[in-house]
Amino acid sequence: MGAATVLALGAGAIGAIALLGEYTTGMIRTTFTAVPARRAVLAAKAVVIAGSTAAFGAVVAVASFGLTQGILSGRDSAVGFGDPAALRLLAATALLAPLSALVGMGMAAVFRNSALTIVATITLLFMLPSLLSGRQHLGATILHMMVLPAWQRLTFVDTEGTPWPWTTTGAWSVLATWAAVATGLVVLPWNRRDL
Amino acid sequence: MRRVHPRSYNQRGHGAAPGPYWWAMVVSSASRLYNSGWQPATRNCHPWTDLRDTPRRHDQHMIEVCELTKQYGKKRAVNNLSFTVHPGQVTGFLGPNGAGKTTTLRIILGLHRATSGQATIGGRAYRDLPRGLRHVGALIDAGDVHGGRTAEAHLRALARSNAIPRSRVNDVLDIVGLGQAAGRRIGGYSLGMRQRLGIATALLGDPPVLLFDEPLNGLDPEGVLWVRGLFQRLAAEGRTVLVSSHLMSEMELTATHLIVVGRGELLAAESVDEFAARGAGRRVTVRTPDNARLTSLLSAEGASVETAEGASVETAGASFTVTGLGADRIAEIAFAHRIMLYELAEHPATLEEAFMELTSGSVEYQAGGDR
Repeated sequence: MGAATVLALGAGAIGAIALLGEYTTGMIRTTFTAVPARRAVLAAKAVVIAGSTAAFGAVVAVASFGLTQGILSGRDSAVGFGDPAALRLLAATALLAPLSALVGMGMAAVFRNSALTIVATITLLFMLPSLLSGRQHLGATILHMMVLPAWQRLTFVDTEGTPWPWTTTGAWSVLATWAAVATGLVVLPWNRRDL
Repeated sequence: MRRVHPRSYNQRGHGAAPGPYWWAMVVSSASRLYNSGWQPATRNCHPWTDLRDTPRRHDQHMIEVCELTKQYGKKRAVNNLSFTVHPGQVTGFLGPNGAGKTTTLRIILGLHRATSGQATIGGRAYRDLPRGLRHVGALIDAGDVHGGRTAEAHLRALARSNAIPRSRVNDVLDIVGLGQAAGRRIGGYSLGMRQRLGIATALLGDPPVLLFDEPLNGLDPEGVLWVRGLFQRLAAEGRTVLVSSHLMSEMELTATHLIVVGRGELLAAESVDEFAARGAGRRVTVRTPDNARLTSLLSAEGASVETAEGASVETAGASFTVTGLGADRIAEIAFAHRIMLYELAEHPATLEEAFMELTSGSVEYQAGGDR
């Protein structure tokens, strides 16, 4: 869980910086003068960042899974790559990186300011889920809409039983919604503002 | 009396809606955040052509600014500004600091949205072009670069985005004299070197239209000379060259046409010769033993009289300066009243003076007097 948080925050920062680097230096004006089609520029950036962080996330997920299984196989409790739960874990962890990067990028597109963007990204990805409690219905409902809890639902085996269970499909759709909204923030309305 | 354009919707002041209409406040702040205020229907400066449907009927490389208005909050940066910039000549875009030059250039390049009115290049809004460098080259701010990149990497990325061959990057770097520094990070460049890089960026796509915002800032004398020659060459090749500046002296040696703005409004749009004719021959130095009589006679004719600092107009023998009357007329008056003249010299007003006179009413950030 701690490692996933670090992965998410790191990828979020990378995504944010990919856009902030242009806004804070003024380079964005040169870029948009060279290519007036703003949506195309921002979509290309989103694709590149999502692609590279996805590759990074996949390497991290496979490497750490392989390593743990190597250790666990010596103790006779390995799972193996073929297990459906293991595949789900690998996929969810690999996708956590590009998703967080898109969230960071979306915040950068909205705020265009380093401090605000980083605070917003950390709040959305990390602060809110750790502040909320899953015991009450309301808290659980909000928690189930956050990125890291959804990732947790997809990767952890529920042993003790939670008062508010939810399906893996639900968790996948939460992640998909975050990705869609973040991409929308990067590409759709905000890019029409003055520079 | 300020003329208020009927289409300037922002004048109504949505935010000032009285009463408990909180939702109206929300809507108004949302629309302000969106920063477009309102996008009114496009108005045509040229009723005989439709800018939207038949862009080809326009001169391909003409910049047209049409009833342009830009409002930032309460501040109106550009007010109902209209002008055209033609190809084949260097056009100087002049005005005091804060006159709205940079705002206008940014709107032309689609970086800012106009509150009302429009700006087009070759009949099209720049923002509608998919790729820009082959159509328009621009230097808006030399600091608009990523300091961590080398000049070469910076230009290569821009060339790549516009499908410009790689070899062109080294060509333009050599043109602006940065060939030696191409592999160094831009962050370590001086202002003059950044200006040169900005000019290289503008030239990258070999565009027919070029915009430069204060390109001479920070350049060494050799660079200034070179840039002047470059602009004239570019114009001689039939390109449209628009160069903004707040210094008339820079422009009178470079430009053949001038657009002068002050407080966001158009003050003059004419050739340099016409502009120079505005103030020519208006200043005359006069020295006479009979100051008191001559000055009162000249004042009666509608001229204004100024003395050198510290001297009174009545001091006999002290020279004074007359504006508003030609030397011929002053001589006639003196002769008719049998006043002796020791000196009568006419000074053609410089462009600088004509510029100062024209913009004196619209200088926004005026320094206090001598302290």
